[in-house]
Amino acid sequence: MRLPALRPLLTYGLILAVFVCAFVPTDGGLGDLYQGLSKRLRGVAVFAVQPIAHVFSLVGTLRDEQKRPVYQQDLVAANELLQLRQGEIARLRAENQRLLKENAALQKLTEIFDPKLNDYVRPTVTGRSADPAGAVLTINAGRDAQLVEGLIVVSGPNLLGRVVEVGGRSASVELITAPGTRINAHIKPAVWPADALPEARQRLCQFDAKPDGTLEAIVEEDFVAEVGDLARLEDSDWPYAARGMVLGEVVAVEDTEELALRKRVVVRPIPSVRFLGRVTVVVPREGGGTP
Amino acid sequence: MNWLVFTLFGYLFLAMHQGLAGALQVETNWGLVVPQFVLVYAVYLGFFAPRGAVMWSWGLLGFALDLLTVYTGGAVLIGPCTLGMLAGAVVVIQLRAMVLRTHPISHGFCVALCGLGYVLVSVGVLAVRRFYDAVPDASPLGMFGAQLLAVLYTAALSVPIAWVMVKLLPVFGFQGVKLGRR
Repeated sequence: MRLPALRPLLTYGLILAVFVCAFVPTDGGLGDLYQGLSKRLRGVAVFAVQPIAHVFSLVGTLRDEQKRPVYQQDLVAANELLQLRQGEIARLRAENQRLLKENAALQKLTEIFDPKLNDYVRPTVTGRSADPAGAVLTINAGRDAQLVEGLIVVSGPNLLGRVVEVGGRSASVELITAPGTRINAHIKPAVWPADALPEARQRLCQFDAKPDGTLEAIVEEDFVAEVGDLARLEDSDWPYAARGMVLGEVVAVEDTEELALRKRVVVRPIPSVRFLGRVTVVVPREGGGTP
Repeated sequence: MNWLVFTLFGYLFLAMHQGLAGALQVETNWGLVVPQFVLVYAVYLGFFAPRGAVMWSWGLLGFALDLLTVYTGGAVLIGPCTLGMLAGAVVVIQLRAMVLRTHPISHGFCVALCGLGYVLVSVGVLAVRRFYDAVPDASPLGMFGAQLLAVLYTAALSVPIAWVMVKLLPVFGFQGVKLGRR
């Protein structure tokens, strides 16, 4: 038989073989044999194609790195997480502000009251004066606790007043809110900035105590003061140790009707001195202390 | 036709089929749609090669596609793609007399039609297998939809590829093919 005569036979034979292979089941003895053979052939094919296919697949790698598919549900979830974190950040910021405020107050306190130079007496408030402002307190410590007239009385970083009369076992304290009190102070931000305060913030203002328990100052129109600022003592009539202590918080900055180009700054002492149960008297030690 | 050149380009197109699947795949409701670069090459051969060479080359390319296709459980089936490609070869032999073979758009058009023949036969074989075998486990309708989309996708991609391949006609040494400006 000549070769050309075999050619159609071979062709149809191959087509028939492929046709049969296409329908051979994958399980059973024949299926295992079929799969074993076809998997070997596949191994050879993949091995042959792989080197160049790998080069082409690098394009896919580049695409995946540059344009990752982002699905909407992923975005929604990420957005929710972001909102949650923003809330947490806002809370931490507020907490940070509070701690900065507290830290500034405590730092000021340690600068003023060096424990090596002062003693601290913690008497109980036993009485208040009958006037509407309750401007004089009676405390249960006197000469027995080395108290003398003129010592300052504080509560934390807040200045309350000074000792005006001393008995054997008691003393009277006149509060800064006592009617007729006139006191000089700076108005400064609650949180002390790292940089020096501007010129406008360095000016002193003079506060007068009012019957309602507040301190009031009339200042020039360009005086810088904002609600929430703190009034800090800067008065030579008071002991040096009291300087920089907090008189109170600015609760109002308003124009005055009676005086042109002036404005009124109202400060309320913090905490309300009317309800204090205990106070602290700063007693300078012998050979030390503050002038 | 120069069979060595056919083998080299066949190898290149199979590598593209294998390597670019990840880069060009598109996710659809029927599953991933992957372009069949081998179909572009096969239609190119179908346009210019002699009838016998077309049948053999399409059969060989189909056989290679069978080897590179893996089904559920790692099974490899020899036949579905080969038979599908043989069906496609019959279609292209019928079509090539009716189209302007050197125009890239003609390639896109024929890829779509031959691809339809290829898909009908290959998915038909797989659909028959589902009656008695575990492979394949996908629904024939889903496979047909995905394959049909893949063919349309390939038809779109085939236009620029065909433009390049037509320039390479002299390399293949097809008899009776003349290139020139009208």
